[in-house]
Amino acid sequence: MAKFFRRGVSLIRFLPAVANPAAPTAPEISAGTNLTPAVGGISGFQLSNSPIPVPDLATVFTAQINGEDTVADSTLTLNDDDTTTAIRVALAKGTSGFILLQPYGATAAKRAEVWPVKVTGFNDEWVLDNANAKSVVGFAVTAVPTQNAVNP
Amino acid sequence: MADEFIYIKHPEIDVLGGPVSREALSLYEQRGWAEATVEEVKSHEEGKLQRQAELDALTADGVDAIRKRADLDALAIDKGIDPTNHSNMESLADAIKATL
Repeated sequence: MAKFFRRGVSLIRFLPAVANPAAPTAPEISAGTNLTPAVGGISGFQLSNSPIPVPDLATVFTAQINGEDTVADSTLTLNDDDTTTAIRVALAKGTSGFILLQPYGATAAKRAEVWPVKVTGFNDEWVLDNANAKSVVGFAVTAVPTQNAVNP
Repeated sequence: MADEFIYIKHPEIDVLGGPVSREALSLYEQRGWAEATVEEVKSHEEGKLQRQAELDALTADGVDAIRKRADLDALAIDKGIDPTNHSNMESLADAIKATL
C-alpha cells in the first residue's frame, strides 16, 4: 500500500461500447477516446445514498434505512484545443457511451469504474482570467455505475 | 444543423456502440469500427426486447412461486405444521398431505 499522486497515474476514457461493465475488454478500451491529457477538472461521478430517517416511539434515537441512490451532476472540465476536434466530436451532445475511470492507471486486474452516460452538453467556458481556455462537458448517468470493475 | 446519431459495431465485439454522432464515425473507423447495419441494430433491439421479456417472465414466475409458498405456509399453520422447517414446497406439501 502506497500513497500516490493522482495526476500522472489515473486515467479517464470515453468508450462507445462496453458489453460487460464489470470487465471492459481491451478492444473496447482501445476503441475509446483517452480524455486524460485534456482533463483539467472533474466534478460528480460519485454515487451517494439519501438515508431515510425512521423514528419510532421506543427510542429517542432516529434510526435510518437506506434510501434512494443518486449521482450528483457529473461534468468534466477539459482544456480546450484549437488544433484538434477529436474530443469535441467524440463527446457531441446526445452521444451515449461509458466513462471509464482508472484510478490506478491501466495496470491489468486493477480496479476501474464504468459509468454509463449520455452527454448532456459540451460548452466553452468563457472567462477573462489569466487561464487557458476550457470547455465543460456535462453527463447524465443513465444506469447504476460499476465501481468495482477490473482492468483487462 | 442537428447532429445525426448512429450505432457503431466492431467485427470482433458482440455489442453495439453509441449512439454516437455521425461526425464521430471517422474517428471510430480509424479504430476498426464501422456504422452498424440496419439488421444489426434491429437484431440488437430484438435481443434487448427478448432479454426484457425473459426477465419479466422470470419475475412473474418468482412472484407466482412466492404466492404459492405463502398459500402453502398458511395451510401448514392451519394444520399445526411449522412451515419454516421445510425449505422447499414439495416437502411442505408432503407434510400437509400426511395430515389429511
